Amino acid sequence: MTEGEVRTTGRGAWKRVYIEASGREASHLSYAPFVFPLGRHAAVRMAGIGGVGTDPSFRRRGFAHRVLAQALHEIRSAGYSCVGLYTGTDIVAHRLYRRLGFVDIVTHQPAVKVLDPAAFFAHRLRRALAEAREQHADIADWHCHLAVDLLDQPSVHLRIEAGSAEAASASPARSDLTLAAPRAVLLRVWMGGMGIRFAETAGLLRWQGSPEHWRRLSTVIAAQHRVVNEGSL
Amino acid sequence: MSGITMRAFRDGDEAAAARLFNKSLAGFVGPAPTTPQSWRKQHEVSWRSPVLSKDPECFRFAERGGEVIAYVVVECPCQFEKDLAVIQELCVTREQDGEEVARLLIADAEQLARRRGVTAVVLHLSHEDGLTCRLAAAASYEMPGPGTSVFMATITNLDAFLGEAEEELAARLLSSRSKDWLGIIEITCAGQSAKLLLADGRVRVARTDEGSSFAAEITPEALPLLLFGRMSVQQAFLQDRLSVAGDGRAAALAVLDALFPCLPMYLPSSQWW
Repeated sequence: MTEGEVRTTGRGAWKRVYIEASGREASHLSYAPFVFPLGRHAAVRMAGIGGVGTDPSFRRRGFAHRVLAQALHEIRSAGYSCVGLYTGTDIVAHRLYRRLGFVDIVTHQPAVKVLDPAAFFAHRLRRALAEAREQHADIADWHCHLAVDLLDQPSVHLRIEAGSAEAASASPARSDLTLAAPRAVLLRVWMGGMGIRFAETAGLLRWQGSPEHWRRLSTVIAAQHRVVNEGSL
Repeated sequence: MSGITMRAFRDGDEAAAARLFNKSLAGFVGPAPTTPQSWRKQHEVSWRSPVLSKDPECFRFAERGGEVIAYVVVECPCQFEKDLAVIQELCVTREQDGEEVARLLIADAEQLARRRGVTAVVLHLSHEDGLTCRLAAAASYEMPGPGTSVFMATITNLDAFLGEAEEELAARLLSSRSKDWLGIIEITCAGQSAKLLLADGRVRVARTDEGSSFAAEITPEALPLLLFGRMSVQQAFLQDRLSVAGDGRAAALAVLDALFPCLPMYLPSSQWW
């Protein structure tokens, strides 16, 4: 693999820093000037970093570190007093930023309200299935009627067919697999905040039905959990 | 609640929006003070979503007796996750029936999400914003994790930072019991250093060889926290993240505490880059 130099290009207020490897862009970010108010009487000139990403085939090889180090060098040389960026506490990039001297200043916790549980669970499951299809070829042949019992709300019914999922309008007499858990637990499991196998082991989620369907579903959801937590570096 | 109507943004709402933005977020560090022009510009940035001129329905205004009393910005759908809508900015005066108006606005944003076929709504909460936390709990919002968003920062030029902050530091000093303190403070951190001259109620970065009244050494991880008001001087001192050399340690800590107090911070997600 041939590695190029870290390069910077300008585009309006934004500067773009990137590195190529084997003729492709391996990692990149952008930064631009922002004004950050410290109070009513003053503001500081901050460089805001955004759009950090690394091609999946070039991850864990130090490309993002090199690009960030170059950007920080340019930002210091340009006289910015500070640098800021937004990220998530649960992704790999967060550890890299900390290694480069960034500190958590303030966190914002997303609070979620599900308006249409059937459509929400189906959409998220479709996405998880699409991710899982690359690793598990048998997902494409999986057919399952899944009932999700939210305990304090009407059950949700999902139909899994040919590697995709849809909300089912009517419940069949017998589902292949039924999950039962409080809405808050299912929301965490479906959004990657809690492992589905952990929820089952801890007694927070129960399942009934075919062990084979449970194995496939927990594999699909667990794979999605890993994707959520790996981030973009 | 009677007499309140909800509607989409209309040209001419910018002045009321800027007033509400400034008033409702006045107690926090972070939000940039807004004028009608800058409010409009802020919401016309092409790479952000929603863009005001393209989708004014995402800017929901509450009106009573012909007067705008609150507004919410909802990204619907979210540009990154199409099954979600994100409430980015909720500006309501925190007095009288403001909380009730905010509830109605959130319900109105949820209706917009339903109309557009979005299955869930996200509200970004700062734990320092009691109003939004109460509203989220009352409206059955839950925190599924793991995605806690975080704003991170590092100081690249301590001398420049303090120079840009001079007027804010002076205002803080003047409202403290240390307002009459005279002297030079040297602040050092991992190879960076700066001197602050405090005299006659003013604070200036001093570029001088003159000796300092006391020197404060701060660890690299504590420096951004202290400068952005996220860690108290006492806490840093007790955790060995800040040490003071020179005469009168108690007075020195009091002066530093006046200059770098702990402050509530809230960054509306509509301003993230």
